[in-house]
Amino acid sequence: MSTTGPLRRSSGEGRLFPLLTGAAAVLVPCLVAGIALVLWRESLLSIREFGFAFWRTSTWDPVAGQFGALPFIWGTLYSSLLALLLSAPVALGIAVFLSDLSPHALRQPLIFLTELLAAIPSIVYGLWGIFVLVPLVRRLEIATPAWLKGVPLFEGPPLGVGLLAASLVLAVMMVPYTASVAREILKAVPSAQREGAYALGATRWEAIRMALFYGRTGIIGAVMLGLGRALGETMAVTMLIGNNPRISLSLFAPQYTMAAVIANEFTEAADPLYLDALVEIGLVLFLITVAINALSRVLVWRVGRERTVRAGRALPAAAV
Amino acid sequence: MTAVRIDTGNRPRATGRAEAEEPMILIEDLMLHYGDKPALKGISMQVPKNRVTAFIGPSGCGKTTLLRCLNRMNDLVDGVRITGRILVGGRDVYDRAMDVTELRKRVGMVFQKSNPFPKSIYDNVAYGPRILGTRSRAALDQAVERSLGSAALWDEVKDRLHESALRLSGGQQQRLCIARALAVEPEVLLMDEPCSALDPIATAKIEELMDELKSRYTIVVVTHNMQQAARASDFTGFLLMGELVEFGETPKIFTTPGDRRTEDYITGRFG
Amino acid sequence: MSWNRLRRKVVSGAVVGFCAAAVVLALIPLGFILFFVIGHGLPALSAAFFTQLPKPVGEPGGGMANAIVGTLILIGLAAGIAVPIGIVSGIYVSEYRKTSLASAVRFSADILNGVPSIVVGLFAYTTAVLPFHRFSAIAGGLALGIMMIPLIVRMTEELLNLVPPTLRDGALALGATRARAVFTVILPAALPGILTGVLVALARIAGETAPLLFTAFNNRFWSTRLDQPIASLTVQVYTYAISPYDEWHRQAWAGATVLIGAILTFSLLARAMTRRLERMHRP
Repeated sequence: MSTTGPLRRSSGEGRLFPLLTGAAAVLVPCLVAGIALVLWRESLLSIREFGFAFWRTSTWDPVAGQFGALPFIWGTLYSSLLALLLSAPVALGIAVFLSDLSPHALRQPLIFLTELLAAIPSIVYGLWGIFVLVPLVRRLEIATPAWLKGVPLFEGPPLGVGLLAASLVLAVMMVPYTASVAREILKAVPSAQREGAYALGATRWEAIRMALFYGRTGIIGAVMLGLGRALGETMAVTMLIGNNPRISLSLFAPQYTMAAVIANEFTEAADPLYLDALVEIGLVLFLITVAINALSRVLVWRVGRERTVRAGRALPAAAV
Repeated sequence: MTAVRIDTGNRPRATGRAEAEEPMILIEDLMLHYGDKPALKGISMQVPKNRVTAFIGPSGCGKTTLLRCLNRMNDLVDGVRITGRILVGGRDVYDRAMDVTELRKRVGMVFQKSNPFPKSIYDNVAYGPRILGTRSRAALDQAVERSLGSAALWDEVKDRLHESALRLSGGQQQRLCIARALAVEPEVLLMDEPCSALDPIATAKIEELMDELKSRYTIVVVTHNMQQAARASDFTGFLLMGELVEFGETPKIFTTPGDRRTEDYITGRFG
Repeated sequence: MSWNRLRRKVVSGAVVGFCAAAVVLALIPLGFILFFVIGHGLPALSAAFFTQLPKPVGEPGGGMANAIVGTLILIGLAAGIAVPIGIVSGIYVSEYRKTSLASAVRFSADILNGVPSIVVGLFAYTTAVLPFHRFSAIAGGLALGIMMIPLIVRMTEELLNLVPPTLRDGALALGATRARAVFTVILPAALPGILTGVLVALARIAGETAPLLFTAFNNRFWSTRLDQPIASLTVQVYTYAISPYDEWHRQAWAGATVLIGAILTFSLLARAMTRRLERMHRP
């Protein structure tokens, strides 16, 4: 019988051990709280100056001292949600394939390849995006028929950079995260569920559908995880989105995200208000991603308590 | 994969009393390998219609493997090789033209541990009819009531059909799984140690059910509980290490077994 | 076959096809990216790349020697921060797993993991750049270290949990204190796995750019001083990539190739090591 358990002091066990290790451990939650605190403190100027209007105004004019962050929220949500729409079906398809359909020999190599997708640094995605994806998107934009160009979704000059290019890259970056977690969820569904469906005469898809239903909370969590990743993505987005603080429905229009504006303008920001405005954007970004990640974690863990999702060894920031 | 072999006469034959009608299930020289390990070695038997047939034998003898061949659930396992022939209702189940989803509609299965779907009681039972295309609410209601009735569960759940199936007790869940299997109106019902996870009272209910159901269905049950086989079945097959040692009417198998090994197992000398 | 059955079969087949297509669809960008980056990067790689400093605009040639060394220094700093804290925290969470502090740590580690890297950069800026009025390698190392901590904590905890309890009980039965049991028996048993995980985490943060933008900043010259801005492979690639100069673009591809090459090597190494470990531990 193992003797691990709550702080228990028997003879031979000093107080030093739990104290020292606990001291290191407590740093982690302190760090999270610390980040929140610091962000809040450093954005006070902006918060006091603009209040909630900060998030309703769309004029971002550092020269005039006018800071309205609505375009960034818009750009972040638009690009991330579009990327979600594109990546979720593909990621789930991959998860289903790897857990239920793949021939045994292919499984490990394919898993390795999906993890590789996650291991590619954001800057490399951005680099590839600038020189390969953007010209492709530009050609796509030029090729849009004139009648389609009237629709607000497609209007604007064919620049290549813009929301579409950024969303496409985001989608590619999201896929391995969602796929990896969703695959673990599907693996955790008891095989008796699928067998029960098969025994009733279900087709392949119908049995898989039952497994997906069983793991539905976890799968939603997996998708949210991908979303959280996309919301905070900086480099690839700022290299492809055009960095223009305007609100537009058009996929072709250059827009701006919260992470991108911080990355671009922070080192240029001279006056305190400008800096604080940028930090305030960082604060809200922090809060949004924390909320989504916390929710995702709860959903994923609901499916099988201590069945920790083993983010594969080479897989970066998936919530473990 | 399908090969008809002529019985060479050394293997144990089905010694059931001559049935006027065709056997429901006819197994001819069935061999099954997991990779290169043999699990079933040349099984031949005839399972009579509208009776309860039990497979008994020590752990690992192949009785569950044999059961799962009857509705081709072994297809789901990697690396399984099967030779021989299985005819259910006169049709070869491994024939290329046989649609496995249709086979599984005709041959239903109940598992060792009940596995209700995480849905309501109603939706569990209605699952089968729904995938078969029944849409009308009235028809589904009817099917659900009829199946739950056949499984002797209707009275207990009729007021809470839309509650989660997972709230039922173990014995009720198993009867729910039986109802679910019956809802697609099979001809054969396979039961893989259906009572092993249940208490004696729940077990008795299920055995009673088997007796009622056999008038409408052919039942094949795998059990490691010999008393259950003796009580509840009409025919019994004894398997040992992948071979069918003996097959016959239950009273005869249990009182005057023909083979020494059967006698040893039944009297508890091993297994 | 009835109409319903036919429809179901067709739908099932379509779904299977879709899933297979999804796999292919995901692999296309992977192949595309690797092909392009390595295709453009390899020709641009030379000995000069690894040994020379960046040349001013207009002059051909030059390299990213300072950036490569800079990245190594930064991940070294990050490891120096994250590994001790991470491992010791991991020990606590594994040893006292039922306590509320352990749950809080696990939860915050997951949260920290999901914090955008740019936000971590903001935090590091405020705590390590602002008070000293300058960008520095230390600030960059701090930012990267913060990002590494949750990875190390979770990994250590998992690996320690995997060590069979009989090992611990054996040590305790021989009269060892809990601390001694952990440090002399349990930790060593998990160490190979932990080291592998550290390598992987290092590879991951070596690819980060955003948190360095206003902490370590960048440096055109050779510098290994910790209290000065320092070049890094990622920021250098970024600077070159968004510039209008072809020569710099070539260098960016080369830098990206080195990055990908390093990460790939680390991943494969880590995978091989985990495979070896799993084989060793299988009963």
